[in-house]
Amino acid sequence: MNNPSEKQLNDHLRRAVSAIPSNHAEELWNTPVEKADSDAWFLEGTEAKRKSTHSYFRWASLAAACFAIIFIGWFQVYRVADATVYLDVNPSVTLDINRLGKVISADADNEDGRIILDNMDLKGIDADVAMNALLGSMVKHGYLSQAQNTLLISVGGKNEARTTALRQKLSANAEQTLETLLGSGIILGQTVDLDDAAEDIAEHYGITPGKTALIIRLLKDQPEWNVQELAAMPMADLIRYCQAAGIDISQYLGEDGEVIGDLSSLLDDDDDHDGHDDDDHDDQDDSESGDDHDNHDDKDDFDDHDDKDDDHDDTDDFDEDDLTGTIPSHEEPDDDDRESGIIENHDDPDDKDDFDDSDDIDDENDSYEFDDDDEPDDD
Amino acid sequence: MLIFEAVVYEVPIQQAGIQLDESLFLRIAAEDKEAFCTLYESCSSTVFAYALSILRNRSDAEDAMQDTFLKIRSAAHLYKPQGKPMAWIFTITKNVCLMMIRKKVHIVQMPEEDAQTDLGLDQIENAEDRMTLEKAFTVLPKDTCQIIMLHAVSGMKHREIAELLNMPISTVLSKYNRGIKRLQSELEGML
Repeated sequence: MNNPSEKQLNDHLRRAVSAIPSNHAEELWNTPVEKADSDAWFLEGTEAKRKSTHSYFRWASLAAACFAIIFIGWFQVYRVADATVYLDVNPSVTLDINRLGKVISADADNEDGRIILDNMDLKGIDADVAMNALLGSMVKHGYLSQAQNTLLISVGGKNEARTTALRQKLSANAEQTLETLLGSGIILGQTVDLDDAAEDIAEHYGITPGKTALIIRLLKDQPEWNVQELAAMPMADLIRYCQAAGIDISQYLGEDGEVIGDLSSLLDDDDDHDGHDDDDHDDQDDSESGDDHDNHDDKDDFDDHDDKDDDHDDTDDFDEDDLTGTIPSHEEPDDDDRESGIIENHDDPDDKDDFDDSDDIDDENDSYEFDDDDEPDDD
Repeated sequence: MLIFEAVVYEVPIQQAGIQLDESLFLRIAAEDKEAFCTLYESCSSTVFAYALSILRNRSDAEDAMQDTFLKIRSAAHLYKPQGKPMAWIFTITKNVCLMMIRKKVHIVQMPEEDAQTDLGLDQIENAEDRMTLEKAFTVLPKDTCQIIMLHAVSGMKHREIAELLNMPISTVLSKYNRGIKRLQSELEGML
């Protein structure tokens, strides 16, 4: 005989058990019983199961918790800024980037930035694409040109590796874009720590916290420099300003800062240091186009003293005499230097008061402190 | 909530291979004899099989079964419809059986092996049925025997057995399969 099958075994067992009990239902019904309490010993274990009548609520709570976790996860990935990118040319724009590298918000830090961002919806697009759009807009509006081809990219974020990777990606992308649009470009890249104080200062001067961090580092070594003036400079001018003072700006970009492009190209026309027209071609561009790109921020522009010259000639722009006169090798600037036009803002007569104030600051050898004396006049 | 419970009561629950109407408990609580007889006829064999798998003695299992139905009568008013009437009954059965074991240990310090030899299965007329049941009780581990009895006699699904015995379903399945193979091996050429 073969082994019995599973079904045969089950049938045997079922028949065996079914054959045993006699029907005692009648007898059991007639046996008197007392109604049990809920804590009766034989109900132990059923109580726990009875609690499961609340299982609907438990499942609902669990589902709500899962939904909350999913929502928080989604929110963290899509709606929370993982990094912040600060772009400074002279227009300053801040982009908040989520963990997927997409823009979740784009904000202008000054009026030029608002012009750049006008009607541009960057939300939800890749950070590098957004930056390309911004660079294109800056070229279109004249903020970036062959003479002003310098961009500061500062990235701050929670995760160091992701922040550095994002900055490198954006720097490389910006270099390509500027090369395509202008033939060449200079990219200054730096990683910055998000700092409330720097953000307050940045907001005060209408620049990004990224540029603020750079300026603060510069001012530590050059305390006589004027923060308002530095803040108002386009990046190319800031580099020229540093170069004229014999300062290598790349040393002030932080530990992992980088410079893409040839910084010396900014002063190529001034290599002879003769004080003559170093930027003829730039000036020509301006005059030909009838659009003085620098005038977007005329109040602090180096070119402002052209008005004083009243010769419509930028001969004196960025000449080393002026720069050295303004910053005499880390010596205290004297009143004559300030009157030379570097610090003075002839667009606004009120500026004179500012410089008077700054004199006071200089006297206190504390010109890099961000007090009311440095407030822009339009405040 | 009352409407919800009313709907639940009207729906017959397919549980453990036995179709039980949960409203039976309400009726029993209201002293409805017919409801009690219906419940007894529906699941007395299943309760007995479960008690037998725990106690391994026909007489004790029958006592346990009867005691279980008395307890059901006394606690019917406490039953809350959950869609699992058999789980509620089995829990009471297990508690009754465990109490019987405790009492028996106190009264007679009977060695377990001796207790297992007296299965009291003489009432089973069919020799093959009796032999199969005896083998199940004598050669299989207790938990394996319970699983096979619940599946074969009560018609419970493995998932339901796992839930009742607080075991992972994979454990229940492997114990069941090993038990059946063991029985097949032991009963080879005998059936």
